[in-house]
Amino acid sequence: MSWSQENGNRPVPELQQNLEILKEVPFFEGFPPEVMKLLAYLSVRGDYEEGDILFETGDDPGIAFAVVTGELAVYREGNKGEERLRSYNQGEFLGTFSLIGPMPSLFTMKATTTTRLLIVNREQFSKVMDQHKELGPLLRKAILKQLRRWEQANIEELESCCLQKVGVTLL
Amino acid sequence: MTGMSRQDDKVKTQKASAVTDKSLFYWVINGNVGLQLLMLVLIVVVVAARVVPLEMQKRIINESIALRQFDNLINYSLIYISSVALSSGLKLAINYLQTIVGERAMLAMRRELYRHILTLPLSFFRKTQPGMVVSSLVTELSTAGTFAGMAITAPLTNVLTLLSFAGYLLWLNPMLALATLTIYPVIVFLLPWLQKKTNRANSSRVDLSRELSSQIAESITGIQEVQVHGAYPRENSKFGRIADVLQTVRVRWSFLKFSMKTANNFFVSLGPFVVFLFGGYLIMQGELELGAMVAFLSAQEKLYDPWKELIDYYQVYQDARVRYYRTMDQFSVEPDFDPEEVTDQNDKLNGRIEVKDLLFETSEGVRLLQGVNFLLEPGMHLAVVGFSGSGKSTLVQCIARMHRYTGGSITIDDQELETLTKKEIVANIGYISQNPFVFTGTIRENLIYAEQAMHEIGRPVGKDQLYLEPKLDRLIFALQQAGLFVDVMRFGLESSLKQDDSEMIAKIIRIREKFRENFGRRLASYVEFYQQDHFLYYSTIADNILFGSSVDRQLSIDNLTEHRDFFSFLEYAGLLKTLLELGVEQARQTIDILAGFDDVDMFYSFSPVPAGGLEECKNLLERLKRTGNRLEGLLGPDQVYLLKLALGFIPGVHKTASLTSELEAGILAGRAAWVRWCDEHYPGRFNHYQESEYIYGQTILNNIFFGRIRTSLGHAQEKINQAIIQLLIEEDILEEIAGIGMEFQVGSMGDRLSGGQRQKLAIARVLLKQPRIVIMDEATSALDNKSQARIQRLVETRWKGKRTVISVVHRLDAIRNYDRVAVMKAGKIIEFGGYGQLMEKKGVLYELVSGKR
Repeated sequence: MSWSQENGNRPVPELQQNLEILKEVPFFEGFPPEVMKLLAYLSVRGDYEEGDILFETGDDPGIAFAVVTGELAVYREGNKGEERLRSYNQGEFLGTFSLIGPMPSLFTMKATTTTRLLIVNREQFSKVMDQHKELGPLLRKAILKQLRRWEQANIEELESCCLQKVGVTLL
Repeated sequence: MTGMSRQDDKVKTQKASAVTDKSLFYWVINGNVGLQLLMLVLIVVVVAARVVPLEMQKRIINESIALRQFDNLINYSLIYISSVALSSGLKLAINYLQTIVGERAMLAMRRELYRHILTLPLSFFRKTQPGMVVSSLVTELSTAGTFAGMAITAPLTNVLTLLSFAGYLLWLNPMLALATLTIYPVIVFLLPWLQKKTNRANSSRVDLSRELSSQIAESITGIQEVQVHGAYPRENSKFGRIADVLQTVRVRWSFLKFSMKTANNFFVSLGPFVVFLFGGYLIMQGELELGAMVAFLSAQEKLYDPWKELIDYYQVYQDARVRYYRTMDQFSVEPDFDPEEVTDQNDKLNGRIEVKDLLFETSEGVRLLQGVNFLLEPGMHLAVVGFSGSGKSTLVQCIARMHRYTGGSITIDDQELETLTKKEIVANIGYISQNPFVFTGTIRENLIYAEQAMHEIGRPVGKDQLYLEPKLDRLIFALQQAGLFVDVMRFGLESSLKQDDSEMIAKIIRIREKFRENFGRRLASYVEFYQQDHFLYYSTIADNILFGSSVDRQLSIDNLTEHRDFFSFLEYAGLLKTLLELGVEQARQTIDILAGFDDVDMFYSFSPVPAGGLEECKNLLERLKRTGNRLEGLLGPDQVYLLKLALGFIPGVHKTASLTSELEAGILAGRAAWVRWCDEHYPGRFNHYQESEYIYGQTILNNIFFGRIRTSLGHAQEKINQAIIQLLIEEDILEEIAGIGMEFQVGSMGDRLSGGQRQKLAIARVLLKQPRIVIMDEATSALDNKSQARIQRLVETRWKGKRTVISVVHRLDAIRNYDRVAVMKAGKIIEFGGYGQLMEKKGVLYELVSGKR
């Protein structure tokens, strides 16, 4: 539906709501307002029930998404069947690399409760990029920043045994 | 014939009958002998009929006027007019026959050349643009066709006419005849000479114009550079230089053109001059009769036309010859196969494949394969892996006999592949490529493509209707195996039924109840059901107001908007102003968001503005501004446009405006008002949605739902599909719906299908013909995980031991169950054996597999 009903008689248009959500995403930092508006226009809401699958191991998701409400979790086929690895909650934005190119997923992602997502797909995102060439450098910067942030978190959080695996930013 | 000798120079291994080796005159004669002979007879009569009037002129003057014989005058005049009528009538007939011969020759040329082109080796097409083939077949051969029509008749008619005129004149008076005919040799040489010069001037005019155009284009493209360097004089002088030469050439060309005309006219008048001067003298001397002189004058005039036609004929001949042989030369390549060749022994082979010392070289001498050896017993499965560029595709394409290999041997059931006919190959080998091609038409047509071809190949043309289409269940089975069945079901469900399909309609309405009962609640969050007193967020505003559809097509929503009546209704319902404002809002927002994306069609799915409508919106808003933003100030068509935007608005999908609760309430009130209005203004012409009635113009799916889908996201689709398929199975109309889905038009080159769907369709069409040997070249790479796994299962369970499979595999986790694995590098097989055996050996395969992991 096109507006949030909770707001009674003065609805906030969907476009506006999407924009508010996308503005909070660090990946889009520095993107010009007209591009943000376009992305808000192109992104769609997805409603999922508990257990609904977003994508499975080996699939190319082709989407990035913000968790608007609810919770998602990633699973992996382990020795004892499906193993839950971790979960994602409201306010998190996932799948930015999928916007850049095909990436077969290493996990299966499911909704663990009634969940609403805001989804941007790669096909549309790349059309936007084609038109706004000036976004190229911004995008590169955003990816590097993200990698760095991720690895930094790992260095700080992981125990020393796992530090062998650190070094993604040196690849 | 010049063409023949040119062709003979070439060293050819080809059969003599190859279409590209045929002389231009072959088409003139072949299949047209009867018509040509008929024309010959007509020509003789025409020529005779042309000489008769000359003699009659002479007699009218000498034997009737001079002798005052009225009877003679009438008789001769009648003979005169009949022979003129006869010759014109027959000339028309000859022209008609010429056209027929020409068109037939051209059709034969096109048909045979096209048949030849389709059989040329794939390597030929790698270097050939489709556009070249198109223009060769369509334009280049048309002059040859024109020529074929006139090839014999034109020179014959005109030479005969000239000769008989000359003969007649010589018979009348040899002295005068010789005197007048002396002019002609001059014309014979002077005019063609002038013509040649004119042609040359013309072609340099064309070249220069082209040069000038590209010069302008270059300067304008590089305008930034020109301006930033201030290179105005430079560019002006480049332009000026060519333009100057062009001017000179054009003047020369015009002058030559006029000279030709003048020379022509001069010589034509020169004839009578000689006749008057010399003929007059002869009459005075009593050596010539007056009638004869008139015949001379008249003949002079008529000599010119045949002569002109001969010159034209020569030009057409030159042009046709050059184009014809150039076109034929382009395709003068030996085909890999003769599709006509049929032996009926090997329609079902066992599928034992042995490759020995296989060598494949490109025409440039690059070795793509060398020293390849392996053996597969019937029913064995081989996975080919390796780095890209290692020759995997080339190897399987050689086995599919898509190329002619350079050395070594490939045998199938101990028969050399090269000796098998195309029919035997297509009957036994199925090849599925990485980027399969899907043809314009329906899913069904594409599905039966390979099997139909297998039946038709080698059969005489025209008897192709012999192929009996497989039963629906076989088609469905192939679709299921390839994993395309659900997609086809969806296409079926997304189609609409015609009004006369009452049986199906009754079924759908019955299903509608069942659906509500069994799945209504489960799918409630994905489907918005039609309810009289509920606003529909996933339908257009128009659907919300009408809540029904028109019985006759003239009152479809698009047409309705243009009805003045409908405006009155909207006013009556108090909606007109609100909707117009909504339209303005849509236009404004769409421009704001999508400026610069006029040609990205998919961006317009979230706005009621149609793709490509941005410009129209801009202009409209501009006009609105000029009226001082008064909607009433807009013209009718502009109001209609805005209304269409508003009525096409789907609140749950479009993001270019938001729906206020006032508008929502207003529209619901309007829905009730519409029912009243209809009863009064359009009695019986509109249906209102009712659970017991079929909704024409909406899809089968919407009709089953009695509602619309809310989301197109994958997980929801899957749930809906499951429910619907279960329902259709229970109601036993699954096959019928699939049958409807198979009539789905895939668009030009299949562009209405996704990459995965195209690939599945290509797999299904090979499965349908059930070949003994299946060759897959990364055939599942465009498929999602589940579909890949499905094909994998199919290969492993159903085909094991039954079909020989050679598969180029891109995912190393999929090769475990193959009987053999070949690892390729630089055109050679470096490892060959069972998966376990090779992994144990810890060689290249082991490295590849563990590296990937």
